[in-house]
Amino acid sequence: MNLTAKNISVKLGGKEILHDVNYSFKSGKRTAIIGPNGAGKSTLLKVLCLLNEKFSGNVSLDGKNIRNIGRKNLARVMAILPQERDAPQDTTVRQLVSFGRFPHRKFFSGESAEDSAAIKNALELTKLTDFENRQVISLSGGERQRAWLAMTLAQRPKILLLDEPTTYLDISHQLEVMDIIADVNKKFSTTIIMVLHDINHARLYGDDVLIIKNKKIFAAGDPKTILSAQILSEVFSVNADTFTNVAGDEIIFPIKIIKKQC
Amino acid sequence: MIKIFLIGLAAVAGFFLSLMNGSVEITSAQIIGQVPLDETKRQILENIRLPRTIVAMLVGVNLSLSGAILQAVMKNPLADPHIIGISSGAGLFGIFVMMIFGDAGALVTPAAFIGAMLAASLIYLLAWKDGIRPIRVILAGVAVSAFLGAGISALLIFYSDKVHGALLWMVGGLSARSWQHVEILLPYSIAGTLATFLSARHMNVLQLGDEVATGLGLRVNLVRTILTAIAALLAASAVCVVGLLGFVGLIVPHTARLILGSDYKILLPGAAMLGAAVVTISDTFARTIFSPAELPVGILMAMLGAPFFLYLLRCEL
Repeated sequence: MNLTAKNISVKLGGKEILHDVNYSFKSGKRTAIIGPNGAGKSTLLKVLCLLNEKFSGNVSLDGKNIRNIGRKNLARVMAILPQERDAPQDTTVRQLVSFGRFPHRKFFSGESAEDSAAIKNALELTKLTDFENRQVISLSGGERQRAWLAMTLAQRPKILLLDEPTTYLDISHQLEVMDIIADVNKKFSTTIIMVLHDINHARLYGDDVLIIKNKKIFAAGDPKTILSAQILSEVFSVNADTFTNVAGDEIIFPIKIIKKQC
Repeated sequence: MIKIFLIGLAAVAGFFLSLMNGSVEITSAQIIGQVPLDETKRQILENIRLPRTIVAMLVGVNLSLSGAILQAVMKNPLADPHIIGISSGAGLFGIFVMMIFGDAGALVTPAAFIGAMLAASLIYLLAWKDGIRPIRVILAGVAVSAFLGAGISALLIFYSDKVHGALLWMVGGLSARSWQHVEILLPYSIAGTLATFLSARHMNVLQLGDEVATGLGLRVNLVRTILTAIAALLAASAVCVVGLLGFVGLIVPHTARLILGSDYKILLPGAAMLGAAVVTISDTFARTIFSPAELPVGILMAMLGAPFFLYLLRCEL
């Protein structure tokens, strides 16, 4: 499915957060959105799925304005994992994942065979099958993140939006989550749009990168060519080294902040 | 499953206890018709005990469901029918009518209902700004309740000769509740319970936070508005019949949650039955402990319920 943002501007409390953003997200690919804090990355993500409704411009899904699709229909094809979330203390992993079927259920019906299959599948993809009866609150940070991710996967989305999916996780859990996302993208050709902080995750796991700075798209394209030490100094004002790791991937390593000249 | 069955059993037990006990004893065999009743007892059972017991059950159901809904909608453990102005609105209008027209029972009920709904709507309007944020509803509720509470105090002072009746009503009681009150309550109980049970899944999703719920396709503002209206109708219908029996709407849903967990599909029927059990059993005690004198059920419920609730809380945490 083609997701296109056209002339997106967002104002919040008189302050402009995004200014005339235009982008056509590549279907079936993984797009990483990066940029400094407060640049408008999360806001753009929320506009794309209508979590933020107060924007000017137009977001279209296969040519249809998403404002006219209807929330429930939208949730059947697009899922978002936001940062702000909550679950009652006694919620089990399976219960949480089953909420992903909410947009697919009819008003009266119970869990259909398709629902059960989607839930089982989501638990397998996130390697949580053995944890399905555990309470979410008893899980480690990484497992909990996988449980929330599994909820969005149970939605069986064509487009999956992720807001900083690896924040607060240790390095091995970060890679685990990124691998699951890559796996889902490969298996189901799910379009992935994710806000990331780690430049190297964007390089290694992104097919496409969107750099946002000062309310606008600063640069976009293939992360392997776009993400360089040069761009890091321009976007984040940090000096960086690049080197090649054992796998042959180029890695960017931030060294120190460039002092602003007054 | 066993737990919810036990709560159901408690509700049934409450129903029979309430029918059997009072100044005249009636046995269970007489109630189910195995042993014939004499005329006086039949009159007592049919025209006094039965309507009073049904009112108690319906009030318990309405207030508990109202509180359970509001806890989900406001995402706040202190949310109860007081928060959305039900008690202060009903209180001000009910007492106003009592003071002006004397103890005109027939007028107090509709006036209290109108007052409750007006206060709830006012709070909702004040809290609306690009949608409903729970914290704004709660703060607007506190402010409006304080304002209306001042009105209640003023009335009580100006008409101090009629304070006794007003005080009884504010504490909440079930004495002399009859079939006409059942008729007032029943439509709200049936429609409200049905609407509430059908919304169980929406309340479950609402508990995940606004952003997650929206991402799952829930129209959060619309659902909040509708559910708040249902909660307001349920609580207003109860309060206008039995007075400000506020305690049930806060403690019963919490107790049900501690016993049954937070899945609304189980929590809602559990809370409804627990509410019915608590009010019927409390009322039975309230009218038999100091027999022939009668204690307003609100006082007894708060005195027994609060310590029990604290006990449950200690066990859980």
